[in-house]
Amino acid sequence: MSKLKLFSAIILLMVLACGGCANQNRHYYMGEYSSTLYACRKNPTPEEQAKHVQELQNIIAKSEQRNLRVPPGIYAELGYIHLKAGEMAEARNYFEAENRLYPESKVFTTNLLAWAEDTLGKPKEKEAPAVKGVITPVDAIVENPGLRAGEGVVYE
Amino acid sequence: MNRWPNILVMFIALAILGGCARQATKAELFPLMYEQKPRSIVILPPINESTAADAPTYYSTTVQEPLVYTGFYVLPYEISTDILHNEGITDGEQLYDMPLNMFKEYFGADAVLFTRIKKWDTAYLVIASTLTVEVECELKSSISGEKLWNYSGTVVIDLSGGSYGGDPLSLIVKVVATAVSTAVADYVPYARQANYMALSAMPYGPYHPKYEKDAGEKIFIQDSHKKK
Repeated sequence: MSKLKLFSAIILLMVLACGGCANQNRHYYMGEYSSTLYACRKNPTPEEQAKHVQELQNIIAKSEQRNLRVPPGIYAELGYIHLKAGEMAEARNYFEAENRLYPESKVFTTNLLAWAEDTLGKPKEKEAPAVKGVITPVDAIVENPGLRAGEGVVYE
Repeated sequence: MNRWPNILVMFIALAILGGCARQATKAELFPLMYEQKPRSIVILPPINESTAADAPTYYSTTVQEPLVYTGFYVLPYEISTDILHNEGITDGEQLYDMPLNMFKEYFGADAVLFTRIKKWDTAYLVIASTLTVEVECELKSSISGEKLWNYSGTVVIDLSGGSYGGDPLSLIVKVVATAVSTAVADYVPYARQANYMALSAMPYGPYHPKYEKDAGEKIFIQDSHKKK
């Protein structure tokens, strides 16, 4: 009996501890990042990939809209997708955006570009639009009603 | 002879009490985090100790987001795993006892996060079933190789739901309902919760508003912190 009580007290404490920290951690907007990524793993189709890319751009747009720093890795991930497609100039733009926000990213984006240039045999550069131009326009972003607690919604 | 069971129960109760109720500050438990001040983290492919072969694939999609929220620069998992994969590394275990300097050199990461999936399973009982996700996270310095931080999170979910009642027919309905909800049970939301639990014990990183202000925050001491 007392063991049961103790056990439930512990569970309660754990829930409280978990709930307490989840609320103060919302200094980024991550949207549906984890969900679209999970969908890509579960069902690796071009459609799911496209949805994930769209979500990355949505995160950038929403973060700017809400005056939040774009979360680590979002620009870099978009850059990497362009890099794999051989679009070096776009990749470089996104990596530079990542570097500006997070100087910690400089080493690996520099290395990635170097590796890609080696393996892709230095494809010719073409003029890329500035990073901002690639982002989904704000008016095209639909409010996402599917967001659940603990998935990174920012409420002021 | 008769006293043994009582002693055993007491011992278990003490173990539970000792394991969960004692607290310490983040700085007391993880002094190296405050001394070395890592800024950037690379997440390694999970180490799978569960019986589910597909657990790492799905679990790995749940780590980056909560880790980002702790305030560190997190290298995008999609990129770092690709690179590691090309080097033949698909499982964090391969690197666990290795020098980690290459992560500093090539990735610019100050620390490396190992994740271990301890449990990822569903226990089938006659009228109930539970889903358990247990993960253990460990941060090691890529410069010194020292363990900077570790914590685990466990989520147990009762999948059966509903009331029992005395009607034998309702029992059958319940068994069927349990089987159905077990078949469609999705581990990922619970894996996210387990990660949030574990990572709530991590000292905040440089991009968190409470960076360097959380040394006195109290957290529960877990078994892995006592063994040393």
